Amino acid sequence: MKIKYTQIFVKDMEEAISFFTKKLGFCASDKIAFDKENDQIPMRINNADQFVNLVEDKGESGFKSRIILSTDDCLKDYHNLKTMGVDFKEQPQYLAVGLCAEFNDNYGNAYVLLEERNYNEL
Amino acid sequence: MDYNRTLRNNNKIFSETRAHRYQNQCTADMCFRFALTGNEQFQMGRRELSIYPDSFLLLNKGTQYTSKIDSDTPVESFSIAFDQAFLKDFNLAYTLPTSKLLDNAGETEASVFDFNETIYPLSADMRFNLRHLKQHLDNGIQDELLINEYLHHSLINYYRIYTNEIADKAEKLSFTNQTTRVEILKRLNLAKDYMYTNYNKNISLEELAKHAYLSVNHLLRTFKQAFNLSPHQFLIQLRLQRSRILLKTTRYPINEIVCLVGFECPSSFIRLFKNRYSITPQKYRQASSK
Repeated sequence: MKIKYTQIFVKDMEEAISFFTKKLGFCASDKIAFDKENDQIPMRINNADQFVNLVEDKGESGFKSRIILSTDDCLKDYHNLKTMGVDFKEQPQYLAVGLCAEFNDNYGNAYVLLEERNYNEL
Repeated sequence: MDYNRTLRNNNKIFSETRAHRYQNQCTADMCFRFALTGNEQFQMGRRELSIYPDSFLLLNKGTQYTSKIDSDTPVESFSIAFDQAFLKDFNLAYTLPTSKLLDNAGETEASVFDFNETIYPLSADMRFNLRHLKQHLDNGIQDELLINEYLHHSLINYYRIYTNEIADKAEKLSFTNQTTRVEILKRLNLAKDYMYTNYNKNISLEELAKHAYLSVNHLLRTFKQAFNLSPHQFLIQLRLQRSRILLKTTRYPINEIVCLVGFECPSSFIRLFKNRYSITPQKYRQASSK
């Protein structure tokens, strides 16, 4: 068993697809009807096995996600995304686990760019 | 890889790999000097300092120094020099809240920065950022904004190291007068620099005290207060740390490493290494080569 899909609720599907593909560099897959009411659009990056599914938030459920994206160079990705117009909450921060930078989409979901660092290595 | 880049904002980055080199220079700007492999020796007046991959040297603007590389294997020398205006901007952004930054937007006159010119331990975060920056530069990166992002973060890393190594240690000294604390720490740093540089030689307490301009008793008492270690314990830790670098990056036999880092007896080295890192030197070498 493994995690394959996580869901992100968005208010405007077209706008969200554009945010994910044009700014974050994700690729959209074909629509999947996971249940009777909602179509979901799986998005993935770098041909990963995990997808985030964009789901239109018709019922104003207010459900918010916080997705942690792994990077091997946080400063580079932070800089590139900022250049693409992504609005970061603050400068990258140093944590016990590594370096991270956080940004939001237009629907209140949060994304963390995380470069995990092994502080025991030389 | 060798290059010497001057960015549009006048920050400078220099990288050179040499087995032998002698330079006599005066620093145009405050700079960090790194030896990413091997070691480089510096002389400033009567002070002799040596940097290794686990440490770096800060040189202030206008410091006259000579540097020497004399090694069997090539030494990767790397340096970052910061323009005064960049340093001033950083200092404002780092120390003032955002609301105050706007009030200071028009202020452009340069101030003089005088940092503690000593050997600092290279923190893990600084090492990671430096590794990324060097990789981009080796690949011929053109985006100066990204390069400056790394330089900005190397200053964030430095300020944190400065807080740990200078500000916090001065606070630990049991003198009421702030000026005395700063002066004593400055002298303790002379002792620390002496150990960083001569770690593989026999260092007597008298010799160490002489280089720090302190009496032996005074040195022992104040060093322990600031570093939470006696000078002897500090030296043992440094030797063990440097043995790890040699175990990881060279193929020297362990018996040779024991002598290279200044231990006399392999069995006491192995015992101390195992006590500190919970692994034997041999197993550590095997694990790091995987």
